[in-house]
Amino acid sequence: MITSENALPVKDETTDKDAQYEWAKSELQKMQVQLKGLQAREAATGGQQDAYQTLARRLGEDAITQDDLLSSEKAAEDNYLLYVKKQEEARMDDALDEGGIVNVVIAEQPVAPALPVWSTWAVLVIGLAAAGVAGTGSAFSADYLDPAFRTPEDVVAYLNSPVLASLPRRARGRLPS
Amino acid sequence: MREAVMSPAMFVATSTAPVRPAPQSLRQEGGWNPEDFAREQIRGLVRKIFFPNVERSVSQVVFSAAESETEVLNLCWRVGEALALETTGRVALVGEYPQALGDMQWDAAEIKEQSSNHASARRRRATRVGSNLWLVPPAGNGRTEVTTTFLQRHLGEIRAEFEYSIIAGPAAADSNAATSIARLADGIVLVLSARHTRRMAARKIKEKLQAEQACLLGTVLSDRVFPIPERIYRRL
Repeated sequence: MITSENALPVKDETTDKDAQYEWAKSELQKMQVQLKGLQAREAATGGQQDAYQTLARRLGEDAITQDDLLSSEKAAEDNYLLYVKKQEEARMDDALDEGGIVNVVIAEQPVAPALPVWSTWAVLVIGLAAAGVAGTGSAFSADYLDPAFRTPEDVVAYLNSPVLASLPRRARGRLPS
Repeated sequence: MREAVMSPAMFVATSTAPVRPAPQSLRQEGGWNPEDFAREQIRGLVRKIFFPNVERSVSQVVFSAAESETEVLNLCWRVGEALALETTGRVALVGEYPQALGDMQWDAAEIKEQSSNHASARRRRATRVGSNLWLVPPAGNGRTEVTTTFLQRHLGEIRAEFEYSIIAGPAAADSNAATSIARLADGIVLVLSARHTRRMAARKIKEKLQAEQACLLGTVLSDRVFPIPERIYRRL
């Protein structure tokens, strides 16, 4: 190809400005300016990246420290609850020892039932029946244990002596005034 | 509760001794009335003591309460009134009755007239409160210490002057005076207060009377309470 070119005569051609060349040149200049801006931005972004990396590294370290603290807190809380439980058990043991009851443990924690075991009507009926029985029993007991005479039959049974008269309280009679 | 099932008719006297017919006021029919009931009870008591069916002569009776809180003077007064209605004999009420009682019940002029004619010194000291009912002051006239001899003479004089005598004696639980009077009289009636007099106290008094050989004619249960209202009681 070089040979072929050398074989050709030299021609001096003068042309007007090349539009494409000018466009490419301006584009080249813009790109060079843009390159410089991007290079400056790269430098700035690199600084920020370093700062972020430093921050991220520090956050990572802090996270590790936080995890350690949370673990320590959880362990301390568990220890505290365990000590409280032990203390309560020790207090109950002491109370049971003072009351003469030993070896008593709670087999099942009490739970409030959702529904009453006894219905209101059952409690009412049982209460009324118990009150009636207790009242009647008390009345009979008081009557039986009363050491004083009440009726002529009492007098006859206890003294074996006839009752000649039985006078009501309201009609005892009064001396004429 | 046991009181509720008892009818007042259970205590009405059933004696058939020849006595005066009961006054009209004692024969009231109708609902149960405490006053009528008490009147009938006292009338039955008089018939049981003084006019029994059996051969027994009782003319001088002591009414003595088991405890000093129980009143016997009113009871003796009512017994005397009932006895005076049942018999024509002279009836003496011996006890510390108010002196003004006789003056209000009987004309004093009539007392003087009758006593000057045929009454003795004992009866002159007595106060007449009815046609055949007299109030006689107790032995010793209120003195605390009375000898047995004096008491015997006093009761003997009363027995000689009056066909019947009702003595309001002291409380039997407090002293032996009631027992002493009961021994000299024909018998004693022990007055018990319902809901008040204790059974053991009454039994001890009875044993003491028996030990002293006093005749316990019977008992009177006073101050009884009928817990059922009268309206309901009438329907039972």
